[in-house]
Amino acid sequence: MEMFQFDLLSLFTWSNLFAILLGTFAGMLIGALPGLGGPVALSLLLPVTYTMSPLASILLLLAAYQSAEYGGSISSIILGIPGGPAAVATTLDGHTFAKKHSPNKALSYSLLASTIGGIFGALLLIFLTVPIADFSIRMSDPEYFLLGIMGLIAVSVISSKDISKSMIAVVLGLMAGTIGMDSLTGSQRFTFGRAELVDGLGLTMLMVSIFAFAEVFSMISTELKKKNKTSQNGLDTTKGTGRLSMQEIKAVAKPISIGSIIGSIIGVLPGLGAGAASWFAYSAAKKTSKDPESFGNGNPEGISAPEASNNASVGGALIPLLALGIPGSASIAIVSGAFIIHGIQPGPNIFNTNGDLVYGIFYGFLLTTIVMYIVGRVFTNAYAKILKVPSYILITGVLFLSIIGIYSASLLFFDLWIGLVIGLVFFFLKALNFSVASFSLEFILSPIIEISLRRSLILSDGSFGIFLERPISVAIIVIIVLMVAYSIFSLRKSKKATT
Amino acid sequence: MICKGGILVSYKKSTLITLVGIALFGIIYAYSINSMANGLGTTNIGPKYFPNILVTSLLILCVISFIQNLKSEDQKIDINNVGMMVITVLFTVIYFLAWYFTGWFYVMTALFLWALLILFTEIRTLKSIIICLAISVGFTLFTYVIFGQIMMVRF
Repeated sequence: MEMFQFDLLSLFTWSNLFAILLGTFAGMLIGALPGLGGPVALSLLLPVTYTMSPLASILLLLAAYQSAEYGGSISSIILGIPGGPAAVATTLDGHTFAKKHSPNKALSYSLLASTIGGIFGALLLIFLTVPIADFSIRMSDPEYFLLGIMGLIAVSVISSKDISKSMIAVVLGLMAGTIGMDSLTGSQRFTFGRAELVDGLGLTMLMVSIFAFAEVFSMISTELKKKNKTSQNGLDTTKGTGRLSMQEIKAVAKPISIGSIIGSIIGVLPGLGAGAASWFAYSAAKKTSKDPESFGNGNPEGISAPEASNNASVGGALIPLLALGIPGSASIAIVSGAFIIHGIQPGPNIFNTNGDLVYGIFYGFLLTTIVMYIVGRVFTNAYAKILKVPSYILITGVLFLSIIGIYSASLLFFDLWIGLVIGLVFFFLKALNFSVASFSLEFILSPIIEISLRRSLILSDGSFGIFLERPISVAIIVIIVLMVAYSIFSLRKSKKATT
Repeated sequence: MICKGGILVSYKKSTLITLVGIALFGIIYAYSINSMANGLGTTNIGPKYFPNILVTSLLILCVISFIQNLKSEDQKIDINNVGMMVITVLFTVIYFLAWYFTGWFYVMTALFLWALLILFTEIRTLKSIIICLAISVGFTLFTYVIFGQIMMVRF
C-alpha cells in the first residue's frame, strides 16, 4: 500500500497551505453568493493555478469546490435563496429553521453535516480510487470509448428533462473538442488558418466564458434590481450562539450518515452531480425520519442530509477522474483542466507517473475539509454579511475577473473576443434550457472518446465487433442499455402522469 | 414584445430559431471537414472520421428537436434589462479595443470599471459616482498586486 508510505509532512508546505486557504475563502464566498456556485468559483480560480505547483493548484480548486458546496447553504439559510443548485434542498428546511429558531444554529447544522460528508467522501476517495485504477489498467481503447459513451449518455439522458437539447449540447461540446491539431495524424482541423487555434480552444477561456461570462449576463437580466430586496430579508446572524449540544448532534447523526453515503455514491456516477445528490439524500432522510411531516417546516434533518450529501459527492466525483481519467461532472471537468494545464493526464497511469501527486491529493483533500470547517466556524458570520454586497459591485467584479482570468491564461486578445462571443451565446442557450454542464463535460471528454474510437477501429480494420470482444466491454454495453431503458421508462412514466 | 425593462420572447420561436442557427453551424462545420487535409498515412479512420459522425448526429438531433418543439405548447420567457446587456457588451468591446490599441491596461481598466459601476448602480448622485470611482480604483489596484506583481502577468 504505497499510499500509506506518503510523507504527510510534504503536504504542509507554505504554497499548499496558502492554496488551500485561498481556495476555501474564495470558494465559500462565491458559493455563498446567490446564483453563483461551484463551477463559477472553479472557473474564476482556474487561471490562478498557472503559476502554482500541480499539487497546490489542484488543492486550491478542490478546497474551492468543497467550500462552495457549504457556502451555498449560507445564502439558502440566511436569505432563503440557494447559492447554487446543490443548496436548493437545504433552503426548504434551512431558511424556515433559521426564522423559527436561530440562523446560527441552522448554519452550524449545515457546517457539521458538510464537514462529515466531506470527510466521508475523502475516505471513499482514498480507499476506492486505487482498486478501481488497478482494475482499469486492464482496460484498453474499446473500453475507454464505451466509458466515454456511458458518461455521455448519463449526462444527456439521465440528468436532463429535454433530452434532445441536452444531446445537442453534448454533440456541440464534442465538436468544440475537435478544434485544433489532430493528435493521431497532425492534421489541422477547424483552425481557419489561425495559429491561436492550433492547440484547440483554450480550456480556461471556454470554462470562464460558459460559466462566468454567461452568468454575468444572467445576473444583469435577473439580479440587478432584486438584490436590495433580498438583502433586507436577510436574517441577523450576530445574535445567539450556533453551538450544537451532543443531543442535537445525535439527532442528526442518521441523516448525515444517509447523506454521506448517498452523496458519495451519486458523486461517483457520471452526470448527476451534487444537485441530484442533495435531493436524493433529502428524500431518503425524509422517508427514514421519525418525524417526516416536519420536513419543510424547519427540521434540522432536512438541513443535514442534503448538506452532507453535496459535500460527500465532491470526493466521490474525483474517483472516476483519478482512476479512469474521466470527469463525471462540470466542476470536476474544470479540476481536470488544472491537471491538463500542468501537462498531467489523469487516469490509471497517473499512479505510476505522478504517484506523489495523487497521494498528496488524497490527504490534501482531507485537509481541505478540515480547513473548511475551521474557516466556516470562524468566518460564516462575515460571509452572511457579504451577502448584502450590492449586485452592481458583484456583477462588475465577476465580469472583470472573467476578463482577467481569460487573458492571464493565454495572454491572447483573440481569446477575449472568442470568450465574449461564447459567453453571449451560452447566455441564450442556457435561457432555452440547453445544458451547459453537458457541453463542458463533453469538451473535456472529446479527445478521449475520439482517440479511443479511432484507435479501436484502426486495430480492428474498421470492424465494430471489437467493442464486443471482451467481457468488460460487454458489461459496459449492458450498463449503457440499462441506462437508456431506464430513461425511456422514466419518460413514458412522466408522460403518463401529465396526461 | 417589449415589457417593462425587458422583452418577452416566445420560448418556442426562440428555440426554433436557435436550432436553425445550430444546424447552419453544423453545415459550416461539415463544409470545413471537406476542405480539411487527411494527414499522413491515414486510413478511412482519419481526422475527418469523428467530425463526420458528430455533424451527422447534430443535424439529426436538430431535426428531431425542431419537430418536438413545433408540437410543444408555447410559453413566454422574460429577458430583463436587455438595454443594460447591450451597453455592457458595447463597453466591453470598447475596453478591449482601447486596451489593445493604447496598451494602457490599468488606466483603461479603471475607466471601464467606473463606467460599468455607474451603469449598474440604481441611484446616480455625486456621492455614488465618487464611490464607484473608489471601487474601480480598488479593483484596479487589486489586479495590479495579485495579477501584475504576484502572478507576473504582463498586460
